Amino acid sequence: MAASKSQIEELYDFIYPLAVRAGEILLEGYQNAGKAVALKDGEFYNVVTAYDNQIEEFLVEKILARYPDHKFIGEEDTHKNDNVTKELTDAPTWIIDPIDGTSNFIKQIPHVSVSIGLSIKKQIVLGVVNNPAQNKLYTAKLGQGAFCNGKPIQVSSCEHLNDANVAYEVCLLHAPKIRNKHIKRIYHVGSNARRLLAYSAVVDSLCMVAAGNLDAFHIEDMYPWDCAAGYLLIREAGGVVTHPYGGPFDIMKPDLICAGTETLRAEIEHLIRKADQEKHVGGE
Amino acid sequence: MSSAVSESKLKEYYDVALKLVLKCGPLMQEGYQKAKTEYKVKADFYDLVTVYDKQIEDILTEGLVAAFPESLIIGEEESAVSQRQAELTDAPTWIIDPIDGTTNFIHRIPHCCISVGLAINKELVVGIIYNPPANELFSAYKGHGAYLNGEPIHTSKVTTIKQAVIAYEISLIHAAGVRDKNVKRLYKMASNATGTRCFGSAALTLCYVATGQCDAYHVEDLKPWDIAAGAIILTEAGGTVCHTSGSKFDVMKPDCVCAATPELAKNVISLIEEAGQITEYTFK
Repeated sequence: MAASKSQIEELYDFIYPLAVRAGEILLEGYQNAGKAVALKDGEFYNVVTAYDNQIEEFLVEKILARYPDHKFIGEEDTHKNDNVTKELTDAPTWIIDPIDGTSNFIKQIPHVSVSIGLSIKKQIVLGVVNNPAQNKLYTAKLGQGAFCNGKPIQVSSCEHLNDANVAYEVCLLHAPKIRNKHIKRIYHVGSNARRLLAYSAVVDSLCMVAAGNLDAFHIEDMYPWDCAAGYLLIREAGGVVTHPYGGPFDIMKPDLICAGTETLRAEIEHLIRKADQEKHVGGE
Repeated sequence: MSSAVSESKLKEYYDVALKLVLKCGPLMQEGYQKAKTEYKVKADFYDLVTVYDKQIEDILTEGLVAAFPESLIIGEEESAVSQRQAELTDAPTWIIDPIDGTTNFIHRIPHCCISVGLAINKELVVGIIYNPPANELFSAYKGHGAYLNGEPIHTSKVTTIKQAVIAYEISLIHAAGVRDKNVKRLYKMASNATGTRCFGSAALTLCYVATGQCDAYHVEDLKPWDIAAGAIILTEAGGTVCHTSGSKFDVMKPDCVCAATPELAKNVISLIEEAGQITEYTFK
């Protein structure tokens, strides 16, 4: 049996103020990052790591104090586990990204978030995302809708890619091993989409689909903590989330297409399949 | 110069334009909040934008011509109505986009703005860009620096593409006539840059290079009103704006490379040249 409604309610009431506080810590770092203009390259990442750790430690400490048997899956948590992501079990498991959009955090580009998802019996039951730079706190409980700052949010009704605002993680072109796959997909999706946008912020892009600001988003080669909370927000906002080839979404290997409508999602799937059959862009 | 504009006259142009742009803020915000909520039919979205575009442009043009009867107007709405290709003369000429980032405006993504530039003797001398949803007012006039909400802004010190967060109008891939060019250039630039963004507003992207949030931006095939105000803001913030070939920037055919530093601009131009050499590209 899945988590009970009262259990979800209790956990939501517990985590909400912590997500607010985590957002305050994130905002402090975001505002200070801009003052560190003179920092050398490596030092930027020391700043990010410090805030990443501070936020994660704050959340983990508070959660364990109240729920000592709960588990965690997160970027910093994985790093401390010799970069091996733990398996998802039936135990209540918090899937946390303390700062999504770390490059934006450094540059003060307002697409940054703390993302907190909760899985019970391998089902995502809570999603809370705080983007303090835009003063947006997104929340969803399984079966109870999605909200931004307490107001209901809903995906868009866009059904045709030619009309659609779509986001893509273009930064993935920076990674040689997956570059050809992504340039082909960008070519095909971009050729057909009215707008192709890129924010380098997976969590925020998922929230923007949930809120109807974006009509669709495709991402691959990312991590569970990038997608857990956003996945539930989109589902609770009435959207669809599948594997890029149309199968069920898997939080532990969270390659996905998400969209306001199944019709739009299917069109993107078709183009991704087509792209994957094409020859790659030359050279390199 | 045949008739140099005096400092006090330049300041007057700036002050009057600033007041008028601020006056349009509540109207733009009204439209932004209304978008997507009250319109369910696609055609109505674009009718909505047209209404606000026209109202804002009317306030700006009527105010500017009343204050400066000798000045001329080049604008998106004006060009659309007259179907006439505008020419830039030595006369003081306001180059206006009442809403830049219209797709963002419709979808309530906070990257949309009012953009007003002034050219005298064919040289850009005033730039004002106002993004009411994000409470960002960028302003500059020649020789007096660039400002965000009254605070001085300056470009980053990045000199190499490997350190750079670049911006690129990926949506141009949608246009068949310029698709191949843009896919190749995106491929080259995103492969080499540390990050790549696309915000869907050229005017604001120029401002984000001015603030150091991005380090470089390349775009072609846009209109003078997309680029004019942002170009003077960027140069007053210490950045460089040149034609894609490296020659002098021409606001009436604003194909450009914009960068935090001249060295970075050269890096970007080299990559664009390399992109032009890609021959193994087999997509069609």
